[in-house]
Amino acid sequence: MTFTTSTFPIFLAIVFALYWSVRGHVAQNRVLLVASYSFYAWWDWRFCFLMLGSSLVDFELSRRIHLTANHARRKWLLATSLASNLGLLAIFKYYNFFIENLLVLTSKIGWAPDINTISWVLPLGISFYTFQTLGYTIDVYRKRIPAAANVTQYLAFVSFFPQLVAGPIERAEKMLPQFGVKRHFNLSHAKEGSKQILWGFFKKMVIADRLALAVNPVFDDPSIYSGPHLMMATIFFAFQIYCDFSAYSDIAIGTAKLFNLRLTQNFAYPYFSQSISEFWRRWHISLSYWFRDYVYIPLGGNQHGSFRRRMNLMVTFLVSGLWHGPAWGFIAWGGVNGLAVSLPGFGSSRSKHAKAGLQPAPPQAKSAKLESESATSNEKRAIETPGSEPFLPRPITLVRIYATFATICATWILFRATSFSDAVLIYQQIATDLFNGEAYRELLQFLDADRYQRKTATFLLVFVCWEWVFRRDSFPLQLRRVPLVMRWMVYTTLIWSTLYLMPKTGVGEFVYFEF
Amino acid sequence: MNSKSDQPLTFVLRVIVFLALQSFIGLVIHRYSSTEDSNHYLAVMRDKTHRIETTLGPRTIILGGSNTVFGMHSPVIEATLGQPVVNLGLHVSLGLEFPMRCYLPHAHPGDVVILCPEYHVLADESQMTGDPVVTNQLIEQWPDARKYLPPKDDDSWKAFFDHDSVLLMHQWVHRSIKMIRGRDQIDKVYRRSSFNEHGDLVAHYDKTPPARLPMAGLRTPNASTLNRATQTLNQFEKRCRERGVTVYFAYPPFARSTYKQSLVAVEKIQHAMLSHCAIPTLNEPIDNVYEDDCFFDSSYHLRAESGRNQSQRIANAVSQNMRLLQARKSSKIGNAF
Repeated sequence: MTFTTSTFPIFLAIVFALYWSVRGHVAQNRVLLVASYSFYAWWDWRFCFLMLGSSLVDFELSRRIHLTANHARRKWLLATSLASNLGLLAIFKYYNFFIENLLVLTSKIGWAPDINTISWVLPLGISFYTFQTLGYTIDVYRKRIPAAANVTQYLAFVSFFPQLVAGPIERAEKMLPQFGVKRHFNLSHAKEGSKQILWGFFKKMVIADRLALAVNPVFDDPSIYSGPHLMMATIFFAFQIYCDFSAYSDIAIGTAKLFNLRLTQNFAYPYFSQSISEFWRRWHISLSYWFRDYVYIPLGGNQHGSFRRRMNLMVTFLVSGLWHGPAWGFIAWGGVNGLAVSLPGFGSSRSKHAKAGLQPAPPQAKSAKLESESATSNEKRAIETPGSEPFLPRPITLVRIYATFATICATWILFRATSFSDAVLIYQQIATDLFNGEAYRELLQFLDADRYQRKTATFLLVFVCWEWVFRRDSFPLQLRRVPLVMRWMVYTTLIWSTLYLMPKTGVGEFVYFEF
Repeated sequence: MNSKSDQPLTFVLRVIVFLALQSFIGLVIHRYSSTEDSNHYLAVMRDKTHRIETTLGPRTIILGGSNTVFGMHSPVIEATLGQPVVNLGLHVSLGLEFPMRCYLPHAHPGDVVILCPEYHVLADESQMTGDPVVTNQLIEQWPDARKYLPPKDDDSWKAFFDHDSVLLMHQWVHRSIKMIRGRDQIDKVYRRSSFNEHGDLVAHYDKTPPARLPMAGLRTPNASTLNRATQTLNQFEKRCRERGVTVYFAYPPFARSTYKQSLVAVEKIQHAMLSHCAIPTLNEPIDNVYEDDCFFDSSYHLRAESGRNQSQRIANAVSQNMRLLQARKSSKIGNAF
């Protein structure tokens, strides 16, 4: 099941009614557990067993890690957990990629081993829930948290349906205590959650899906488009993926609020960032901090000099690229971002925030002390007013935002292009036509003739302005100081305009489902 | 202990009030989008099937989506081929099979079928099977359509809730708001009364085109989609041949800008047609590419003059093919002697 269907509101209404009609947190967890597995089974019931198996293995291993004081045995148990989780990912997600590349490599030395790729379905959300359980086991190993004593509580945490398929990737440290007590209904949370859900639907169905119609044909066959057209498609893609993914997070966070559960803020106006490192503190926050805590810091973080720090950053970003998908384009995308973050004077901004101690995401871990920072403090850092405090930004702020956005767009080409050679072609075409006036005129003519894309570009502009105005809020539809009547008018307009303006081809899949 | 205002019931009541307000707005909108409309565009299928039932063969039958409705001028084809024409084309979103299934029960020996589907139904699996929203609308207007629609998959109820119901709501809101805003110039064209007796849409001949509706380039089809498309075409050709009907395939007209965006996809379709399709082809895709201003409101919908030219060229090609076929038959008979 996905959020943007008629099934979801019906499902949500049923779960909401059941959840608040039972007594005690045990019953609430049971309701959520059954709901979450039903939600997942709607897509393919067979994979429920995979998720259940993976969760139970981690539950048992973590329990044993917690109970034993023998260091070697603890290590061995952790290694088993890592092997089972990463093994699942390796089999379902990376097996074919490794085999294909192995075959290419061996063919170069004239050897053709008899290994075949396997055609199977990538279980939905596998990258998200395996990382969540992996984080839990490592935290138990590091003695940051005790192992969960109650299996229902643990399974409800792993499979919690709003964030099961595409995150935010939650920490056990933050979530398990919430599942361990009875949740009382909180009206203000529920109202805020409903608004966030509505905002998510609007972003996904109006902005992201309309942009997809302009982006897909261009990236499917970039060879026939001019440089300016490819630039426009790249900018559109930057907003498509932002609106798509952040919409999913908004709906997930909003839904969790209806159950009085708090999820991590996953996006904090990333395109108003003034440096690449700030961008990575504002984009897919739960994943960035997962990699910081479980990859970058174990590698040594910034504890062994500048060169080692850059290497650690590079490795972290390469792994992050690979996490997104088994393709060289994603790995290159990770590498370029790693390079951008680690380059001195390029990745970090010299803004007031940077001076205040907000250094690039992973390097800001000045000591192992940061490991113990809760996700809440991560969030606080991310929601520092983006694009500086004043309503109208200073020119230098605008220049920094523009430079960061342009760099990020350049890296999105590697992410979106259907192949590495296509990405190279797009870069070449953009470079060739950079000062070609005729190509820009052609693009203007195209936009002049295409009312649909013009409209979409206008919505995008309005959306960016709206985000700028409300950038101090965790999401821009809180409207705290707006009278009730006005607020209801805004919600009503959003609902009907979403239905009216969504593409007539229907609602597309969320992009991050592929990962 | 929760305060009264923190009870779930308070929230539920507010949601109910809010939903009641939205329902009221919905009712107002619904007033403008009643489906009971005997002049609905899709209701023309009643007239088209009536014509095919009452026109004695041999006939020329045109099958396809709306490109055939806008771009085929049956009188031109009738004059060239000398046999009555029935244009059974209607809407691309009814899928590839629907027009074929409409024709087959009425097939008559000696009929000539010109099959001219849009590229989209050949290249896109979801379009090939038909859009449930349009299909439902057609059933509302013409309940007999159920007889001709391809059988549904077992999980279609799931597809309805997961996908189609949202689309239905969108279409309902879209249609109603368009009517409220009074921008119904296109709707004056898309009416049952806009068709001539052959089944060609003629109301747009003397109308200034509105801003052309956008059309995204075709996504490059994969081999299995094209395979499915050519298999469907071949099966149709086989069933027609068994009934003594000759089938020709024609590529649809296409606006140059969209063609440019869809070049790779079109080439793939052409390659698949050449390699796997048994139906003789009357033209090449490039023959049917017209400048953008030759189109009315989409990249498939030709205006009057271009439509006449297109029809004449297709009629000439059919005529030439029929002569060749005749000559081949005669020489076979000659050889037999």
